[in-house]
Amino acid sequence: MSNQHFYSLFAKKLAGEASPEELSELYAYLQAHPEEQYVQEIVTNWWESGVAMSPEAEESEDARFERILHQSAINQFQTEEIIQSQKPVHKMNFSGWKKWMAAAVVAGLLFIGARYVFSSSVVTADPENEIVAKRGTKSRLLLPDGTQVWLNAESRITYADFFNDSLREVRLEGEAYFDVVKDARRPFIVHTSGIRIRVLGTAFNVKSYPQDPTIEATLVRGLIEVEKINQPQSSRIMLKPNEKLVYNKNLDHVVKTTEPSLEKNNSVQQPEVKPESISISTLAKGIADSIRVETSWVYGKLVFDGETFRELAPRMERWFNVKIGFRNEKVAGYRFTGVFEHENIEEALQALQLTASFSSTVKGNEVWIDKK
Amino acid sequence: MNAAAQYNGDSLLPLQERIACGDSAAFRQLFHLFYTRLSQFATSIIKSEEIAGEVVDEVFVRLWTNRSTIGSIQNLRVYLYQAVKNESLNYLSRKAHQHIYEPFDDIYIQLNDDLSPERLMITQELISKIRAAVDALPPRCKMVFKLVREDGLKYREVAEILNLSHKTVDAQMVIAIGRIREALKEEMHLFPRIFFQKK
Repeated sequence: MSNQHFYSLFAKKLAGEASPEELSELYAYLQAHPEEQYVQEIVTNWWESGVAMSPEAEESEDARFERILHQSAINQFQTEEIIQSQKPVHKMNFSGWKKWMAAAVVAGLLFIGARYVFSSSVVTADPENEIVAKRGTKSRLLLPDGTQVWLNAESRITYADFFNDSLREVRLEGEAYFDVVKDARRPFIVHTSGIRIRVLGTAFNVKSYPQDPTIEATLVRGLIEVEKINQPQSSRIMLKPNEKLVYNKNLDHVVKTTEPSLEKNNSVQQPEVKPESISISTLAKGIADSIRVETSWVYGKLVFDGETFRELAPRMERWFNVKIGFRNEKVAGYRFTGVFEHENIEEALQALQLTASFSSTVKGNEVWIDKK
Repeated sequence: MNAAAQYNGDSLLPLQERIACGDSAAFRQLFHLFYTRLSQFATSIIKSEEIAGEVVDEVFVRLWTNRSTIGSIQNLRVYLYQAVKNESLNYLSRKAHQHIYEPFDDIYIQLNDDLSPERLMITQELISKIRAAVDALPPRCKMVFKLVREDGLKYREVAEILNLSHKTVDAQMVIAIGRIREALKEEMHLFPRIFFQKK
């Protein structure tokens, strides 16, 4: 046996890689070469002394681990399916690890992006890009200017090809959270069926589902200007951070109600608004975006706060990709407060049944709610 | 044997399943199993313990953020090392403003401390001889050796992580064992006669 072969067998034995045949070959060799046996014992002894992991290390690692959980929670949205439009992203102001995460999903992005672009039937003279989040899914996309958009279930956003030139305009059906890249020269405009939202650089949520009676805009930071499509001048309203605007599509006239706010001075200064189908409320302070009813979906949570079952049902339908029907009016009027995060529809219904008495039948995508 | 070495890729699967369900205790367990050795691995490439720690943090943040897909990772152990390697190379590339591929000829590898001689059956003198031999190995060889011995990785896993062939890993181990044996050559002359008498 050559030295090389002997070393190879020996190394494999140490590493636990040797086959039974190799082991017996090695033993036979050592039998014939007892002087090698001594060295082999020394090396084996040293090898196996290996590494002793100190238990103190675990304790100092714990703080590090907590930071990792925290960081992940902040960036929870990264788990969402990310969709990029067909245009290249010009500038991404991601820093540090976010950049690497973004880079890691680029391949997936392009594939999914292409899938959506090709599956959309928009091939018109005025080229438009359309991105759709289906029932039970959510999407995140980057617009050509770097603006990030989180698209909630059963929502679509369209924008023209000339998006980047002088005006940034998108059309929204459904719910989306916008984090708009600041650009004073090019306002960013969100069109919905009833209202128009004009922004310079800000983060806000818009909810405008066709079947909902209202359209909502919630401002997280920055400044946005909202106007009704049919009365653009007279209905113009400036929204401040933590304010929520609700537009009631079914009211011909418009009502403005301002909920009692901690910052009375500010709300008093709001100009009297004529259109009364619009109401503005101030959100409670000190609540993280991740658990607010309006923005929690961006963080992968379905939060509800004192809503009736009937009000909650459409949100659950979109979230879980189901159809919910009520066979009992009393049950439909039950009010619920809670959060869904990782639950499936069955688990969610079970959770609701812990606090209220009703029965549910799930058959495929159909859910029927009845009294117990 | 150390804790992480006892895990082969397959036996991490139950842990992976729990992590996919959002079980942070399982994630913590995984973190403790691999944190130190991954940090050392990153340090050998980046040559800065502090930045290596950040790199490993990033890998774990990403793992937890995308935990729902962790079940589809075939060999999580290899995946972790590869992710740390890629992240480290990315860091070096960024710093150098150019693409850096496999800098395994320019690495700094610190061997872990061995147990004290009292707990071993061999003398401090022998330990020093072996360590000196290992320390003097070429970088790539030393890296392979460390991953096999200290991290308990299989040849094929080391091959996958370092982008080497299985044969190359074997060859590097042959070099390492050969050098160690060379360093202990004198010991053979002190070999107890009793074995010879037997023959």
